[in-house]
Amino acid sequence: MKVNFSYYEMNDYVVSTSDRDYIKESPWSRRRLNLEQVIKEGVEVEINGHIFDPLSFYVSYSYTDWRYHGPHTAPYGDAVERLDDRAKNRVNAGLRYKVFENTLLLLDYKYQEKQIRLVCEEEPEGSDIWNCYDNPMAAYHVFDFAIEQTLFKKRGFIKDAVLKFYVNNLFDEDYENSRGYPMTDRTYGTALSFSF
Amino acid sequence: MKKFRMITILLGMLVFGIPQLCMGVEEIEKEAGKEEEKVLKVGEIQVTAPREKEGIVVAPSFTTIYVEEYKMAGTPQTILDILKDRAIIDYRGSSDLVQTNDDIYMRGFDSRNFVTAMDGLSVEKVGGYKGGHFTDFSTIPFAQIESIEIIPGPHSALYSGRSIGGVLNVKTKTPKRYETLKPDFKVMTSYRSYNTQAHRVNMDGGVDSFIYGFSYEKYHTDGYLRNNEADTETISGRFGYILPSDGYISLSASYQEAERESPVNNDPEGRYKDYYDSSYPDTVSGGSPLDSQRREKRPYSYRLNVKQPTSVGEWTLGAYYSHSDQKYYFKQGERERYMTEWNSYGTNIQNEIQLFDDHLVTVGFDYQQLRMRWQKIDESYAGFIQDRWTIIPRLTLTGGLRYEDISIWWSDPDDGPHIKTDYNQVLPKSFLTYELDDLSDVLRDTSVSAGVSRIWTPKSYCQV
Repeated sequence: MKVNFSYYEMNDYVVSTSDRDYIKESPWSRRRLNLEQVIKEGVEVEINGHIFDPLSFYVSYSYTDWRYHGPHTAPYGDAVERLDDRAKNRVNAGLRYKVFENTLLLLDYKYQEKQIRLVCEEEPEGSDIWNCYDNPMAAYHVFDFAIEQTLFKKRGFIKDAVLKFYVNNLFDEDYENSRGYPMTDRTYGTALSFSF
Repeated sequence: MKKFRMITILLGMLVFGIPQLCMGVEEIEKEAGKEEEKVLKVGEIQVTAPREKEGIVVAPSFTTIYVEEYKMAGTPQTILDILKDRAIIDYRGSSDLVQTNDDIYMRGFDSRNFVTAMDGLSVEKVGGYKGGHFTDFSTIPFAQIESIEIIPGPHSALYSGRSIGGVLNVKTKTPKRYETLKPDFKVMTSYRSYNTQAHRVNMDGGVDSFIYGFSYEKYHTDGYLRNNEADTETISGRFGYILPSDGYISLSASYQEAERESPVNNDPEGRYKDYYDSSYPDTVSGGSPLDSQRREKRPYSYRLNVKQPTSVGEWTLGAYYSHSDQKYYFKQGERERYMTEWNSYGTNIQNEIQLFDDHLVTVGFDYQQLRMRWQKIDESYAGFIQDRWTIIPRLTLTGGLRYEDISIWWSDPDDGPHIKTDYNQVLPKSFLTYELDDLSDVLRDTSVSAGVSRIWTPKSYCQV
């Protein structure tokens, strides 16, 4: 297991802003703004191991929090909100169960807390006409499942033949990751690998 | 553009290693008895037995993922699919089927503020107009990769000051001798919903001290979102020579052809409602469905890796040149609307030497030049020294100093010639680890670490 605590104190931290008055007056209509002091704190946890011999697992957790000590009036207020547009809490975990000598079951899990992100799109590209809006994204839980079968270790000149079937987004969670686009629904896949 | 200066303090790092933790070189403590503890220092032990097949190995200051051994419930398209399983990596792309540039954050920092490296050398472009386009993970050939080192935080003096969030160091396969002339082939083929196909063939072999490797990777998806089809083909090759000292010289090259559509707005109530297509998922983001935007690119790169163990330490040399271009098509079939081109060079030389048994010292020099087409935008020189000092067997201090001298040719808002600005800074780094293993059975494979480092970079948004 590994636990990391981190604390950052950052001066002159450059962020993106959508404050229209600021953009209008800044040279070259830059959308960037300098924040005098930004604090970031975080925790990361990693746990890997075996519950019992054929069952192994991993858990990975991350917490992040951004703060700004400075004026929150325009144009800073908007930029400060963007600082914290990451999900504060995220968890990834997985189970690996060797149900038979040559058969492995895999279950992966991802959780992300709700977040709000500003989306700015220049349309048409190069026109300097920007369409900006807040995009709130709900928390999500996504599961992936796979069964991996080692067909044989060696047959003729072919070695380590492995066949895998998998289902990604097992429970068909409706979620978004960042830019206001729906992420892929439930999908099915198969993979074959071997060497010689 | 103002430079920004940052200071970070990593308050504490509590590390409980897993029992299966196995590192190539370790210092071993032995207990002589219960009454009287006597520590016998054996020194360096080179573990030559095959590594236990663990996909993830956790150490106090980094986590290593061994790509071949790593098991996941799916087929990795690029290393991003593997990295996404770690919570420290935040995937922020619009689709998991079509990965593009700068799709991840590390420790909450975007790709400007963490480093992606191959064999210790940064994979970097100068970025695009108004930011972005720094790193495309698909350009790193999957078949060449042995492992990925995830180094959280800014405590290594060996990497650029830009590594504020940390470093993702992709390690390529170490050249090895082959017992027979027959090359090893590996084949992987996969099929997934939305006509998503990934195919990979690679061949590695050798004749006496010469080694070679080739790989071909192809990926296609129809995409889940409207106007989000993608095709990429990547080929890579490597030639090398294993030196009598067990060092090596290796030259590798890769080339990719990629074509990716950008998802468009598909909102039944939005401004393009007249063009709504119910056979695709509703998408409130994206541009006009009439434009069918897509990007095409043909990046290629050359890399040189040299390792030479000597009586005065182990020398390593790395160098690269990479070219990347991108054509952005505004409407299908029409001439490209925009074309961007990047050229990047870099080199790194370093020496790692064991001094007085207790000190592992690394000294090195970095150089990097990033160009937008052929306009020089960014030139960096850096020198560094890092000492891994085993103060007592339980206590290790990794201290370092890095000096960076960076010139940036900022674009002029009035369309004049680029304006050169010079920056330099000394960056002290430190990371202290205290092993708790022998204090109690409960604390086996446990250590506590604390790091305090200065972070600084003038590289930021909008250099071009």
